[in-house]
Amino acid sequence: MKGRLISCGHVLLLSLAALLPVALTAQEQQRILPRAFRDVFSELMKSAARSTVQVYSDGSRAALGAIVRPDGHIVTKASEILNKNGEPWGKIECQLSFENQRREAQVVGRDSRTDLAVLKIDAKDLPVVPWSTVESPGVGSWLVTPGLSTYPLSVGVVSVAARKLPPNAALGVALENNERQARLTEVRPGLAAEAAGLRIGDIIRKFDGEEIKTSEQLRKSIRWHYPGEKVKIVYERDRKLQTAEAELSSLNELVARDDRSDFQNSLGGKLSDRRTGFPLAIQHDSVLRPIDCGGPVVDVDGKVVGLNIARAGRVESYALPSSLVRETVDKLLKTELTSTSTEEQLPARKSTPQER
Amino acid sequence: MIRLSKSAPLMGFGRVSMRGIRFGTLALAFLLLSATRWPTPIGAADVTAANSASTAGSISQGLRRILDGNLDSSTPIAVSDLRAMQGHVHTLSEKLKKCTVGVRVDQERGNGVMSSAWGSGVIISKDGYVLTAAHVAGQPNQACKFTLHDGREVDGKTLGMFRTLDAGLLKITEGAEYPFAELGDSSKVNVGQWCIALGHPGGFQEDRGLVLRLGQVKNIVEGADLPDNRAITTDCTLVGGDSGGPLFDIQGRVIGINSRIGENNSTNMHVPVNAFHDGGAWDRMLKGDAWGHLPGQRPWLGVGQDERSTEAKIATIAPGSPAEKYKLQPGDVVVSFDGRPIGDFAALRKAVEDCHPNEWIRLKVRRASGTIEEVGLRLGKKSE
Repeated sequence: MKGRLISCGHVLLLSLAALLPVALTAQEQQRILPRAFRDVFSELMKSAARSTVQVYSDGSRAALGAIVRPDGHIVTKASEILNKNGEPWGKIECQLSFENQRREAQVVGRDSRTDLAVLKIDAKDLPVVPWSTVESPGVGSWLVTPGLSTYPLSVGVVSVAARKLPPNAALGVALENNERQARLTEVRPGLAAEAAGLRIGDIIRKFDGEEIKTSEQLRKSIRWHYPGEKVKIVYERDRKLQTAEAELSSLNELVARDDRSDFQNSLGGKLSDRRTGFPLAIQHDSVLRPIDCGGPVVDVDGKVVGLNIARAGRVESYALPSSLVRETVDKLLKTELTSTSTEEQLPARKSTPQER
Repeated sequence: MIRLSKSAPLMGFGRVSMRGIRFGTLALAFLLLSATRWPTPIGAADVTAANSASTAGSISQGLRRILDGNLDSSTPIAVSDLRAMQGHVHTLSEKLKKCTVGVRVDQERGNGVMSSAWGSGVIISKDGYVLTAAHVAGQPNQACKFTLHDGREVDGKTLGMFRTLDAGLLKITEGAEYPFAELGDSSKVNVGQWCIALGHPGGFQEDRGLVLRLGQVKNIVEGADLPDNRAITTDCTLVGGDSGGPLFDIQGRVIGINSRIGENNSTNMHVPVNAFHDGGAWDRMLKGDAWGHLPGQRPWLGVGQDERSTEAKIATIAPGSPAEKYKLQPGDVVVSFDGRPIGDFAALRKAVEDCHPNEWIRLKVRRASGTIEEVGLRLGKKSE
């Protein structure tokens, strides 16, 4: 399925990989703006920067966050501080932009669809982020990411307007480019297709009930499935139709095995572990580190138009639009009040790893 | 499709251009006459209109200077300048997207299976000439597919390529009129100038479309007399699939073509657009000529000549070479290469030289036993 990224370049870079020294510092990775630009961006993000929070997990910087209620509710990126089951990796602390201390935080709720978590610190009269009321910013709109410093952490523009991001499952095959059928030209070791017994030359006729006519159609269909999902595959081998069941792999897993695209995307720094499958996200070109996610993104009016949710590649950072963040926060807080919890949401409670 | 340069070996050179202006102007005129009946530039007119509507109209003098690259760090910028610039980019990006395409070049592998290279390109004439990177185009006179901004797919073919600078030319062959971008003059590009990169990182994705990046020129080595290391470096981040896509100046004119990256986010390199027409390059590409080598990318088969033979007879097989991997033997005679007859060893050498490293090729080989076999193999890369 990653046929696309893999074949992206029959000019290979594999051997160059070994030549390159690793890891530049965060500063070296950041774009350097002319001073005049830096100054004006610093000015317009001031109010949002005041409501930006540094979130620590087990003593280390894990993410940024945004104050969403004056009484100490803070929204942040869940997967940087909580494990799959919603349990904290370690003690969670928050530092406010106008304080010099860290305050211990409790997890109020988590929404795995958006990868948002709401935290609560013991405080009052906190400055809530200045939410934007306009709809999602268009392609080419400025986006400023404040951190806890006077200057922006990063500046970029909208690269792609808000869209639904596919969950990005992978089958672990390369496909022939063919407009009549989807024939396997490669089966990657250790991924879904191999485990399901598929072989080079097999032609996929049906994928999860969908009749497959072209390679492109199959690629797309796979991308919109979830990793871990079990799907039925009808394929043709030696002119006979056969059936297999595959438990889908994730695109990240596949990319991690593909030296080239993984290598290219890693040029420019680390990527967030959770970086796909968001219900709605703005793609922008700000250079971020995974630990820079979770905080507000500000437009040219100084209003918060989104929350950075993932560093997903050398050219892509994702932000959830404000409306989605606010809805999710409202839902999590309402759940807290009524104490009804779903699988995805943790009830409000003081939690430590030991308790679980 | 991005190639990697080990890093930018360009730091500190600043702008180097000499004959650029004169040459550029001449070559451009030449291009207008010979390439295609150069139509009234509709795209250009639109862009100009957009400029006069937003750039000239509402952007302050100070910002205007900065957009053009006349950087004066003491010039204060107001939020209203940012807003004006943003409005300008909004309008411009809609137009620029219409000229930018996804490119897919299908290549038959040795085993009869088709594999594809994905990249990007930019339409520069009404009748569908498309600039791209040489490493996207692959080989001259191959079929390729273009994905237009609205997702429509049209047929095309590859023309020539100047590999040393990574410049390649394609043509849409389905007759129609296409929106196209105006060409800029890369000899006049300045460090600090704002620019826009477009492309399909990771390949064309229907549910995403084109991806815009805004940045600044960080370095430029450009001039018609610098044949090998000409490049524009920007902080518009690029990744595989962006290759061949356009770099525009802030007026919307093509000044470069996305080519390769270094490890730093600010090392994204673009072929200066003048490389497509300086020194007769355009004329050669139109004819389907492919010449030069991508830097550090010499193709490798790994066979040594049997000098006693007048045919393309193999005497030695280099250890670890593609020839060894695909079981060529000393004593084999190569009689054809991708369907073209091979008369002698020099012809074989030339045929290999004309390929990209890692390209799939198909040889007909006469074995020592006299049987003729077809061997599909993938060339390697010889380090320089």
